[in-house]
Amino acid sequence: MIMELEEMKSIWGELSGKVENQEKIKKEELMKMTRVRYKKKIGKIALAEVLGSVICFAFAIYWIVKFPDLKNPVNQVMMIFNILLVIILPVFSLKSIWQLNQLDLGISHPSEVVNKFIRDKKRFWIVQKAGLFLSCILLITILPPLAELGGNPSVMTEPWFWWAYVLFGFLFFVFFTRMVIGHYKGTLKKSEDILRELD
Amino acid sequence: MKREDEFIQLIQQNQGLIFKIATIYTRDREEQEDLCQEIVYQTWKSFEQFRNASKPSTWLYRVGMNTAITNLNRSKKQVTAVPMDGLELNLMDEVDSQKEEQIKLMYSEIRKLGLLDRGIVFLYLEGKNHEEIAEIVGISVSNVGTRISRIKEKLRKGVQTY
Repeated sequence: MIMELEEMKSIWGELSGKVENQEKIKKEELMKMTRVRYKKKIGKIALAEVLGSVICFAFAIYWIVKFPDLKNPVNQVMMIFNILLVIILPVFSLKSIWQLNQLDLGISHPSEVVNKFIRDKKRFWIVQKAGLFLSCILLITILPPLAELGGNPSVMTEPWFWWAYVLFGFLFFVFFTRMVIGHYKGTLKKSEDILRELD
Repeated sequence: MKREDEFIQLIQQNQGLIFKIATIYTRDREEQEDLCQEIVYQTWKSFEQFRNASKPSTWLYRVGMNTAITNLNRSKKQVTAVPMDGLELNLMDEVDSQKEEQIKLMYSEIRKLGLLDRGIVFLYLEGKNHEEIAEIVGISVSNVGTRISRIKEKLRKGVQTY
């Protein structure tokens, strides 16, 4: 069975005629639907991203305030690293939302939108992987400074602590990455499929 | 005329166009309905720009296609369509089985194309010439010609594999 583009054009013409004759949408329904959609979109952005960023910034402020209490230089370096991480990660997240909203669908050409779409998908991959990796590092490197802030810095000099810590860190790393990768598997797969589908 | 009334009139005059864009960029009824509503929403959001646009149809084709492309980012779980009549229509109810097969085949072949090629085919089927397609999509006229030739070739090969 072969269908040429010109044959499609004739079928399309017939369908278009039927589509044009359909009943016109009612004014009240149209405005109600538009308003409902607007509210849903505002709610989604505000809740998920802003709340997450506020929590990260709150941790950053708390750790900055507690920083003078740290005496161990290794813990100080780890704490600086973690403070930078909880500031930089949400900034990237908020920046990506801002960039997404910068694309004006009323002005941009579809060719630009497709190109941006491809860039966004690739960036999504990189950000997901980098975020996962950095989160694991954060969860491991934050423990020693927290132990010192908790009033038990001598624990750091105990050999058993390091054995337990390395073992715990490794197990947690494996468990956490498996859990998160499992969670994102569907999204990442879909993202990969769409990229493959593009020219 | 009030802004809201102008918007209603624009949508009512072009709801067929919105429905057709949604059909080629989605795979089921639920997604189609959601995309129709998303296009209407994005049209409302960008409506101020339309007032200054020279050709409303060119602008609407662009908004519709842009929305369809960006909407592919979302998963099926996020579909948020509210039930309503008018923007969707089951065309299969009114055609015989042979025609139905042809329509299904046509959509299935169009959906196999990349995002931009799908839009170009859509505009071609809508009877737009190369200049109009180039203006809407944002590529050169010669590129439109090249892409249409490639699409014809792809469709020929694609359908022959059945």
